[in-house]
Amino acid sequence: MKDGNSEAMTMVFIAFTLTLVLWLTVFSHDDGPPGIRVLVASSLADVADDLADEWSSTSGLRVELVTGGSNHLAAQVRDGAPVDAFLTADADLFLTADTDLLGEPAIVHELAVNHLMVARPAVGPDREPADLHDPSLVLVACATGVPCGDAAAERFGDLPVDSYESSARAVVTRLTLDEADLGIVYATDVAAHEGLAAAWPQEPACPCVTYAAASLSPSGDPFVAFLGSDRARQILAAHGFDAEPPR
Amino acid sequence: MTGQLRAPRSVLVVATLTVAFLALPVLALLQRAPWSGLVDLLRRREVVDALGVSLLVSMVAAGIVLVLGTPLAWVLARVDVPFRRLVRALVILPMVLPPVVGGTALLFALGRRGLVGQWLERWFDLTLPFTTAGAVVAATFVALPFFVITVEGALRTSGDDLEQVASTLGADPLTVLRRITLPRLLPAMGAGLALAWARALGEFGATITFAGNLPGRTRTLPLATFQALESDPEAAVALSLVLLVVSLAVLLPTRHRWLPTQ
Amino acid sequence: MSPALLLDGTTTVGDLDLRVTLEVMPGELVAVVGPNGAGKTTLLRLLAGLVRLDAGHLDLGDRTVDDGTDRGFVPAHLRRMGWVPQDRLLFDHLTVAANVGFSPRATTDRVASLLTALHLEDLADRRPPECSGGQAQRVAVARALAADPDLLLLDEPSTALDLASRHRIHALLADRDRRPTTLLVTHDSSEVADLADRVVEMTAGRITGTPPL
Repeated sequence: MKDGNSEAMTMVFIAFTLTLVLWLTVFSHDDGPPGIRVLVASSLADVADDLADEWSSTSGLRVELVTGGSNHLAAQVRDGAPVDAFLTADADLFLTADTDLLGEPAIVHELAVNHLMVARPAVGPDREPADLHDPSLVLVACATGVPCGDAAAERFGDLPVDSYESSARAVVTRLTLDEADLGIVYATDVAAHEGLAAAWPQEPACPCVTYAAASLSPSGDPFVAFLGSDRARQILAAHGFDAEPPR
Repeated sequence: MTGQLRAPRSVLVVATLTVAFLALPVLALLQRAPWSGLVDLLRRREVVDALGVSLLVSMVAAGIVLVLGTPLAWVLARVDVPFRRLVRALVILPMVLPPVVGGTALLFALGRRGLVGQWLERWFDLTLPFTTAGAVVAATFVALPFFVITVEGALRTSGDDLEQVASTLGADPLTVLRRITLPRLLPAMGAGLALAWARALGEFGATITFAGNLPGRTRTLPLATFQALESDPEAAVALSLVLLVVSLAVLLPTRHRWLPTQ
Repeated sequence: MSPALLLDGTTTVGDLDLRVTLEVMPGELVAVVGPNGAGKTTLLRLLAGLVRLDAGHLDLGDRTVDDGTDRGFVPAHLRRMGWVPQDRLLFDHLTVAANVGFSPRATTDRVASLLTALHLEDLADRRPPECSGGQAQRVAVARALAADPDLLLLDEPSTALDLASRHRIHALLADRDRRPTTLLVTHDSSEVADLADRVVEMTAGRITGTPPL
C-alpha cells in the first residue's frame, strides 16, 4: 500500500517536472523591444548589417539578422520558422511561379547583383586563367545547389575542384587561411576581405547572382520597402554590389 | 519471471518514454522514405560514392583507433603517469569539443599552413586537407576518446590481480599483456571499437571543416545528406536510410562482441 | 646449508608497518599464524615480489632479490616463487589444463603428474567458473607447483574447503619429495599440527612468537 503511494508520488513529480520544462522552453516568449526577424544569405551579411542599422535608426525597431546559406535558410522558412523578411541570393526562389515553398511573399525586390570572381589568397602569387584547370593547385568552389555554386558551374563548366563548400563564406575562409590556391567567390567578398585578391584582372560577367528581398509578414513590409529606396541602393553600391547585371 | 526483482512502475514509464523519444525520429524517417523510387535513388552515383567513402574512412579510422588507443588506455590505467588528470582531459577533449571546432583546430595544426602541416608539406609533400586521408584523420580524432575511455574503464575495473599472479608464475610483462590482459580485454575493446566506429561513421563537422567536401574523395554519407537536404530532400532521406542500414548491418551481427552480458 | 629464505627488512603498505626477520631452511614447511590484518598476506606478497622493501634485504637462496633500492629489486617474474593467493585468482578465460601449465617453466610431465596427484584429470578441459571451490583450490595449487618454484607460498588454502580436496592438498604437502620449501598462512590449528615443521606468529606486522607445535 505504502509502496504504491510513493510510486504514484514519483510519477506525479516526474510528470510535473516534464511539463514545467516543456512550458518554459516551448512556450516562453522573449521580452525585449519590438523588432523584426530577417533571414539573410551569408554573402549579404556585411551589407545587411549596415542596411539594418540604417533602418533601425529611422524606424526605431530592432532588426534581428540570421545569416546562412540561401538554401539552408529557405529550408528553415519552409519548415515554418517565424520570419518577417528574407534576403536571398537565389532570386529565382521568388521570381518564378514556383513559390509554393515560401507561401505568398508580399513585397519582392530585385535587390542587387553580384558577379563571380576567381580569387586567390592575398599572400599567394598571381595566377592566370589556365591555372583554373591545373590539378596540382587546390581549387575550392561552392557546391551546386548553392547559388554561387550553380553560377560557377554555369560559367566555368567542369573544373578540378578539391572541395565543394556549403557557402561562399566557407570558400573565403579557405582562401584567407591560405589552405587553397584558388577559389570562386563573389566580387563583394574580394572587396571586403584583405586576405583575398583577384587571381587575375577580371571583368564583371554573368552568369551572376541576383539577390532578392521578400517580406513574409506584415511586420516585414516596411523593411523590405526601405530596401528599394535610394539610400539602400547607396549602401549596397558602397559594398561592391551592382545595381543591375553587366551587359 | 519468478525470482526477478520487480521494477518500479515509474521507472518503467520513464524508460518507455525515453525509448519512444529515441525511436520517433527513426520512425519519421522511415515514414518519409520514398519507398517506390528508392532503388533508383540508391543506385545513383552520388549515393554509391558517398557510401564507399564512408565505409573506407570509418573502417580505416577504427583500425587506427584500435592501434593507437589500446596502448594509451593501458598506460592511463596501469602506469603512474605524471599529470594523469591533464592527459585524461586531453583524451576526452575531442568528445567535448564541437566537431566543427575540432575540425578547425585540426586545420590549424595539420593544414597546409598549419603548425605541423606546413612541415608535412615541405618535407614529405604530404597534404591532408581535401584528401581521404584527411577525412580519416578527422574521424580518428573524434572517435579515439570513445575507445580509450571504454577500454581504460574496463582495465581499471578489472584490476591487475591476475596480472600479478601471472608474473609470479614467471611470465614477463609482455607475456602477461599478451596472454592475460589482452584476452580478457577483448569484450571491452569490442565495445569501444563499435562506439568509435559508429562515431567515425557519423562524423560531419570535423570532416567538412578539415577534409572538405568532394564526391568520391571526402564526401561521406553525412556530408552528402547535409548537402542533399538543401536541394533534393528525397535523396537526403535515401542517404539517411543508407547510413541507418549500414550502422545496423555492422553493429547488429557483432553485438555479442560488444554488448555486455548476453 | 644456506637458508632458502632470509628476510630482514621493513616495508609499509597502507596502514600496515611490516618489520620482519625470518629465516627458513630448505625443505621446511613453516606455518604463519596470527590475527587478521597482522600482515601475513603482505609478507607472502613481499616474498613473491609484488611488494617492495623500504629498507633491509631479502635473500632467496644465495641471491639478494630486494635490498630496498630500485636497482637491487628483482621483479616477480624473475623469482622462482609459487604463490597461491587467498582468492586463488585463476584465469577464467583459460582451461584448467592451460591454467596449470601457464608458467613458462612448466613442463608437460609436471603438469600431467600434478593433474593426477590432485585429481584434476577430468576437469582438464573445463574452465574455472565451472569448478567448485575445492576444485579451484586444487587447480591453484597445481598451477603454482607446475612452475617448479623454489619457494611455495600458500595463503589460507584450506579455508572453506571440502574434506576431499583438503585431503589431497595435504597429501601433496606432506610429501617432502613433491613440495619445495613452503610458507603456509593458516588459521587452522589441525593443519598446523599435521604439516608444519615450525610455527611463526605474526601480530601487527611483526613476528611475535614461535609457539611450539
